[in-house]
Amino acid sequence: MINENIKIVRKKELLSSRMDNEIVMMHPESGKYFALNPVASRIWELLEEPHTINELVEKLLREFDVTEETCTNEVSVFIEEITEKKLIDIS
Amino acid sequence: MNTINTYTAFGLIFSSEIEIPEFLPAIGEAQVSITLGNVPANISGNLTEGFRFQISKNEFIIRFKPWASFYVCNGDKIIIEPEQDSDERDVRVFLISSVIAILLHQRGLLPLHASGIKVNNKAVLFSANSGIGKSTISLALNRKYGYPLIADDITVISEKEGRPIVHSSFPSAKLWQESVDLLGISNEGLQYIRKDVFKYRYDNRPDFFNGILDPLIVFVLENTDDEIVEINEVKGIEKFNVLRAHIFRLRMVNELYASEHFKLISNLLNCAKCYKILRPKNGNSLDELCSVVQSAILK
Repeated sequence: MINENIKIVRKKELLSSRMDNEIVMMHPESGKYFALNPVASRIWELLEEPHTINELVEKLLREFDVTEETCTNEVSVFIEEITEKKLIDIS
Repeated sequence: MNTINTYTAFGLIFSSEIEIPEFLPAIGEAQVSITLGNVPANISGNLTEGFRFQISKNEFIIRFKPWASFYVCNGDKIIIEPEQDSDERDVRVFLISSVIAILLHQRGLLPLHASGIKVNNKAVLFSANSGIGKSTISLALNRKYGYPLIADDITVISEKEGRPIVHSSFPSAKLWQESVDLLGISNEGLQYIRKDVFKYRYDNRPDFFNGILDPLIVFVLENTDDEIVEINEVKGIEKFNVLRAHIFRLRMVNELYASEHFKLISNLLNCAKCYKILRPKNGNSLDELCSVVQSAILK
C-alpha cells in the first residue's frame, strides 16, 4: 500500500498517448492497453514527475471542482489500481 | 532462372520471380524479394501456431492448401512454394493480401484494412470489415468527385520524424458483381480474382495516385438495420479501439507488434479525424453515403 509520504512516478517504459481528453496507454511487454478517464488522465500526466498522494490532491483541487474528501478518495483508489497493475514506480 | 520483375506497392520496391500484374512496374533497388522455392517445414524460436500457420516476430509460414505455401522473413523476403497445377491467380490473391500484410507488420508498419482516396493532397481512408463496401465507396467518390484512388483493401501507415504518413497500395480493386452494377462498370473483359471466386479484379490505373500523403480523415464503416445513413465523430479512447480493430490480420499477429501499432495508431489519430458511419444493410444507400462523406470532407 502506498502511504502518503511516498513519492510515485509512472513507469518509464509505458507508452501513452492523448486522444482528445483521454489517455490510452500500453505496457509494451504484456501488450496490455489501459484507458484513462479525464481525471485519471490528468493524474497520469502529473505522474510524469514524482508526486506524493497529497501533492496530487493539492494540484487537482486547483483544477477540478471537487471537495478535498472526494478528491483524496478518488486519487487513492486510482493509485491503488495502477500500483496493482504495475504501472508506477516508487520514486 | 526466372525473369526478375520489379514492382512498387505500399511504398516499397519488390523484386519478384512471379509476375504481379496488379502492382505498378518500378525501377530501383528492391527492398523485398519474392522468390519461388521451398518453404521450411517449421520456423524456429518463440512461435505461435494457428490454423495452417506459424508466426514469430521475424518469421511466418502459411499453407493455403491446395494452392501454395508461403514463407515470410525479416520484412524483406517472401518464398512461394506453389502446389502442382495451382492457378497463378489463386497464388497471387494470397500473396498480395495476407502474405504481404505480414511482411508489412514485420517491417514495423501499420497495415490497415482500409481503402482510400486522395483529397487535396491528403489521404481519406475507409476502414471496414470485408463486405461492407470499402472498395465501392472509394470508387464511387472517384467517379463522382474525381478524387484519385490510393488503396482498395490495405492501406499502410508509417511515420517520419513523428508525423504519420499514408502510403498508396496498388491500382487494382476487388469487386463483387453487385458493386460492378452499382458503379455502372462494364464487366466485359474483367477477370475473376481467382479461378473459382466470382469477384472481379478491376484495374484502376488511370485513376490511381502512387505516392505518400498526410492523413486527413479515417471513416469507419459499419452496417446497420436502420434505413438511414448515420455519421458520428469518434473521440477519445474509442477512436483508438475502433482503429485497432481494423489492423489487417490482427488475429494472426496478435500482440507481436503491439508497441509499433500503438505508436503508429496514436500518431495517425493525432493528425486525422475519425468518423463512424452506419450504413443500411439493405437497399442502395451509395448516393446518400457519398453525400455524407463529401460533406464531412468539406467541413
